[in-house]
Amino acid sequence: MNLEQELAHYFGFKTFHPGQKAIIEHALKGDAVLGVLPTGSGKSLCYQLPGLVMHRLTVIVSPLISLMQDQVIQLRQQGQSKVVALNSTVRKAEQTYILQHVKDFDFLFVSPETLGRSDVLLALKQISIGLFVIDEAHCISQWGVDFRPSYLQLRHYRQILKPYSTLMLTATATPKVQADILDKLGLIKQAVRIITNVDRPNIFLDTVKVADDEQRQQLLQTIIKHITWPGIIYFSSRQAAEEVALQLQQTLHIPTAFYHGALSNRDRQLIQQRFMTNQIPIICATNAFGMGINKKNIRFVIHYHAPSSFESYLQEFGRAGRDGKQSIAITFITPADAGLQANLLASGLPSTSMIQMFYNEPRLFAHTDDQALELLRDFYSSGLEMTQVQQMLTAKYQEKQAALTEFQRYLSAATCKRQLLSDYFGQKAVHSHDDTCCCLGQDEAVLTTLKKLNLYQRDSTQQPRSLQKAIETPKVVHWQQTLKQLFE
Amino acid sequence: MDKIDLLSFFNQQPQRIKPIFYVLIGKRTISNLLAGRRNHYLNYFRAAPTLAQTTFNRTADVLIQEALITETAPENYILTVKGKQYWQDKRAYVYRLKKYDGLFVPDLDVIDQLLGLAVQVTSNFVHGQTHYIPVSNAWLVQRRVQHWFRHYKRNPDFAQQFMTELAFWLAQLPTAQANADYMAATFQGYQVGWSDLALTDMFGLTPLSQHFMRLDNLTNLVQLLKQKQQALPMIYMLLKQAIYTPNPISISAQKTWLLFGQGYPLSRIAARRHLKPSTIREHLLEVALLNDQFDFKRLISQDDLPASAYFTERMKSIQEME
Ligand SMILES: [Zn+2]
Repeated sequence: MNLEQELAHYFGFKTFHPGQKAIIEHALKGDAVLGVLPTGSGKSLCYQLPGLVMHRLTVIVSPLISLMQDQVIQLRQQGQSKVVALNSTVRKAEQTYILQHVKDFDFLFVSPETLGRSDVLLALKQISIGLFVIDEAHCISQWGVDFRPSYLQLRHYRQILKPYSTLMLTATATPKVQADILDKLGLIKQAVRIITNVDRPNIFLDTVKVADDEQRQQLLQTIIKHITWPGIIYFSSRQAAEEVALQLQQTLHIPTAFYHGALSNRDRQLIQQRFMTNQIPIICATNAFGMGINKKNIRFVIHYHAPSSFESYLQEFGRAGRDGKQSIAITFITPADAGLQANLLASGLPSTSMIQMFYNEPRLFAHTDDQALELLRDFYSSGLEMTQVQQMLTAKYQEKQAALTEFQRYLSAATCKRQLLSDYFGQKAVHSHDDTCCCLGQDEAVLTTLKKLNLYQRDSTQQPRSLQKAIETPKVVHWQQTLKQLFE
Repeated sequence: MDKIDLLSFFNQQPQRIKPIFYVLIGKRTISNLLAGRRNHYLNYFRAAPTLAQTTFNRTADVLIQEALITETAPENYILTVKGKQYWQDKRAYVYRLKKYDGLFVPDLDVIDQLLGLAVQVTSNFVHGQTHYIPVSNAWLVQRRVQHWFRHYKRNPDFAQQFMTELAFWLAQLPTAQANADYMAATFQGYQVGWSDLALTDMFGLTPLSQHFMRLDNLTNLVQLLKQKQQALPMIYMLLKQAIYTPNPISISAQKTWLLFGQGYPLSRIAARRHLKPSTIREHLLEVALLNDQFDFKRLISQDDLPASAYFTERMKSIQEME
């Protein structure tokens, strides 16, 4: 089989990204493979292509409902119609239908809790599964900040389902976590590891120190005025994302949207759609935005609040520059621990009162896709008592705090950031720092950096044509006119 | 949930707060249904199934703290003078349900998704746009719309036809709070569509009220499809499997009622159905509450179970509400 031909046939690409081909070859041979590929390097293609070539069901275990949905959408857009997700937000009638017809699908996305249900295991046991994919495989590791107890059951489920091959995928895993993944799945002896470089050479790594919130707001405005669009600004709180989005829109007259977990499905869909089609060049978001976003020409990612770990930093800035063109990742840092608390709060951990409320009546929270609640559901369905959960979460909280402290050291370090990042992820690469690599310490003149990287625009009229859109003012129009706009 | 949303449920009649929440999320217990019926909000049954209890409680606390409602008997609240004034000032932000009746409707959420996706698919097709993020991720919804679309797209003026049918429906909606303009504004199509924030700006309604208006509009559509389906063939084709309205009485209670109607004493019904006598009584309360054909006189002759104050009291209050 010529894999390049299959790639061209199904996806219209000519060549593979580093790591992809090796992973696919092993999957087709029936091996167990651990693939570590950074965000934006086509992680999902590693199971999509072998899934299509094998003509057997591919089961993908995914920890987050939003992530599943994004991937389903992506596959369907590529013309794959037999793709479906099974999780607690799917209606009962639909779940029954899916399980009855499961052999007719090519791709089934499933949460670990749902996979563990006896009816689901029974339905899947009766068909032959080609590829068993564990996405975000680092969630199985207690060493990682994203640990999910339900992932520990996957070893058992895998033994029941007996797939032809197994693929463990993650964007970020230190050597310690890699070993833990394979250990927990009982695959340490036989699994092949394909580790690609986390480095994204076309993204300039920049950090900027700001004295206080006011200075941060002003600097952001200056940058947005001159930096090449489109881009994403990440915040640690929903409220900040909303406020700054409105502020940018009002003062700079640039269409700006905010995006966070509390938006309705309808809104999320609408905003993603508008960002994809360049109707909105700038998104102010929490970490809920971006999973599965497949926009190639994002020129910048700004962290208005510093992220909470190396892992989320890498994932989030990795959304820039997927077209390989020069892009920039800018992180604002404030003195002392300002923003630290906010960061921890935004890290998706449930509070003590939330744990209590959940354990009082778990049913009430069965159908929300809030990250903290998803985590709680996971603990609950793994049979953990409330006090155990509280203890575990306290420990997790401390781990997150330690990770955060380490990450903050990185942000203020005076040496080459690219080297530090690559060291953290246990990669042997040696980077020779140059002008387009990183800012070494703090960037004192961001605009100069932008000019140097050719990411500077004198004003908004210099921005790419397709992005120059006027802000739409909400205005009630007669329904007949709306129908005409829709259909004529 | 805004203050005004919750305040709209209060008046001079003392009532408990909790049942409002349970009716809104659709928790079917006799005492919730009874409270809803007594205080005239039973039609809100399951009108907000995703409303979080914490949000509701927080809103209720604010109403009490700001003295917009006050406690007249333990756990019983009425609207205060201040609350009445507040309601007068802000009532324009609220939409009260007129058509929707949560115990007697099909699954409107599915209907909403089917319709929204059909509009999106058609609009993008008309404009030659093939890449977009679908408004619904539900597999069955996508499949249904796909079939529907394949069936009609060969017809050169199917989009016009669809538009005419939508117009037929929208033209029937009440105009006082711009139901039709709102409904149309929430459709998403080729370069058309507003965010929730923009919709709130445009129509001056609280998010929950917007949702209620939507429920009313969709209920209206379901009724149209049942009465005048020949005027809406395309929409009927799209929704016909989704407009079936289930019986609000649970199947188990229906069985009990059947035996009751045949004249069996309650103890015999319990024995025949292998159920506890108290369950049989719950069934009868359910039927009495949800079906006006219930024969209260029969009960006297057929009830041979030991007297229960709980049962008698509730039955009496249901009978008094008739
Ligand atoms: Zn460097």
